[in-house]
Amino acid sequence: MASKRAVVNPLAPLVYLRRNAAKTIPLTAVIVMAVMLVAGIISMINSIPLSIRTIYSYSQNFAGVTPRGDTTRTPIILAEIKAKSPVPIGRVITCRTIGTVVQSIVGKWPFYILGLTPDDMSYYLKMQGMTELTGRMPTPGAAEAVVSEPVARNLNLKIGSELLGPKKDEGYSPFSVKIVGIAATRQWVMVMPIDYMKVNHFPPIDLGMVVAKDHADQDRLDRWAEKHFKGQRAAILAYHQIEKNTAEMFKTLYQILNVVIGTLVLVITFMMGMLINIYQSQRLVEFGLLQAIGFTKKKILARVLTETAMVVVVGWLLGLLAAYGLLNVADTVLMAPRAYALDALDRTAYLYSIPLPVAILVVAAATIIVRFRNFDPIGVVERRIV
Amino acid sequence: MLLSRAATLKYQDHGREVFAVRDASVEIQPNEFVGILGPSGSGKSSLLYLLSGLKSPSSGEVIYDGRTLSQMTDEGRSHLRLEEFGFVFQQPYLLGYLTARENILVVPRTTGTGQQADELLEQLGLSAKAHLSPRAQWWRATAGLRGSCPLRQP
Repeated sequence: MASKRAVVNPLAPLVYLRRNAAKTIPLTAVIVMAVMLVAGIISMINSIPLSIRTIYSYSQNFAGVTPRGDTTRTPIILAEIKAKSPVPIGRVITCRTIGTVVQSIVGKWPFYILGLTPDDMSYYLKMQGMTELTGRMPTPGAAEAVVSEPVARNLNLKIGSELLGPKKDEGYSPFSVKIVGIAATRQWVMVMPIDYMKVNHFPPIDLGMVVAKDHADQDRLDRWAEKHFKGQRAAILAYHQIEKNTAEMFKTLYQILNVVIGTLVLVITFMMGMLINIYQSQRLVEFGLLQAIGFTKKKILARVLTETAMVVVVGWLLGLLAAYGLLNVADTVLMAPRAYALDALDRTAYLYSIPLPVAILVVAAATIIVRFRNFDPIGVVERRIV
Repeated sequence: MLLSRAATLKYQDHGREVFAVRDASVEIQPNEFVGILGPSGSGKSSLLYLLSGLKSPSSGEVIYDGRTLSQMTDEGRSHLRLEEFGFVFQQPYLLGYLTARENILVVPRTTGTGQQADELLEQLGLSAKAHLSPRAQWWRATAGLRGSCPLRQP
């Protein structure tokens, strides 16, 4: 016998939903959780390819060049690119690399430490968006390195930490290579003196990086070089290959995911359809009474469908908010401390949740319409159905 | 004026014709108060369903203010019931999630005239309970008069 605030229109959908919170809240909560689940799963799965693209996005700024079968060809290849490039070249860098690993949510990924001259190193770090350097640049020839902030977080490195060393299986170097600087940039970068690499690491192969003068031309340069050297003793490594390979790598996973999400949507829709059917059955007396005193079937149906639509849409919107909150928490607590990539505003994840309210609404509407088709108010007022 | 001419309501029961009302002719003048008496199962309720347009006669006709109900659309009959007829069902039916006052306001002819609803509640001695829900059993029988209260004389 709780006191209620007076309303102007007692049959307004919101009045029913508010006054019957014990039914409205569970229905809404199921939709909220389902949307949160779908968006959460998609976003977490998307974080894997996103991590790959993030880790290797430094390669967007240059075309990598490696010789094939002849270690002496690097200068020839680089000269040819410089001479024949369809876009103006900003810089050609000769470098060496050492393989190591970084961490991701699905395990270890290979990563390359670049060996550069001091001048090229400054240029490279600036090119990768470095705004500030904490510490200093490595001394030429010394066992020293600079890493970027995401790498430092990912591998829990600080200035003075060992990046490579004689006892490190996945980052071997005959001397302990220490971090002397941490570069402020979102790119994943590890650099050290090329002289140290030449003396202490093999194979003795010079590699090249070709940077377009205008960054907007880089992809064009990458694709030209790839085509130009096809079948020759040179390999071109470019960012678009990473994107292509990543898409291919996850194609099957996404197909499986589509089946899983589709099944999830079906199960939840079926469950919601049953719940809505049960709740509407409990209101037959109300519908019968309203029809008996003169409300048309169409009007009652419109009211019930409006109520259902409100529950579904509000549930979906709250679900999106809940998913965003959950993903932000996951990002802050689990991902960001290790520089793992997670997009809390992943558009695909939220788009994947749309079939859920649509399917629920369609099934609920069909259930209600079928129920109303042969509904007889006399049965209610004569108490044949209560 | 409300009248029926040889109004009949029949239905099929396992292939057999059963008459709920057979050739019923009545004439009710404005302001006339009429009671229908008869044993259980004699068709009193069915006749009222025919007279109020809740059911259409299988044969014969029901005429209200010169309009033949069976010739009206479902929507038209619904509108007529809502605007011009009042009902007192055998059992009191109320919407449990609405207050006494809101239950009265469900009928559109009283919507927007909250003052009339208040006056009605006062006449019934329910003013103090206007904000309570019908889950409180004690006022059900009285407030069940909802649709029948002629707040505006037809």
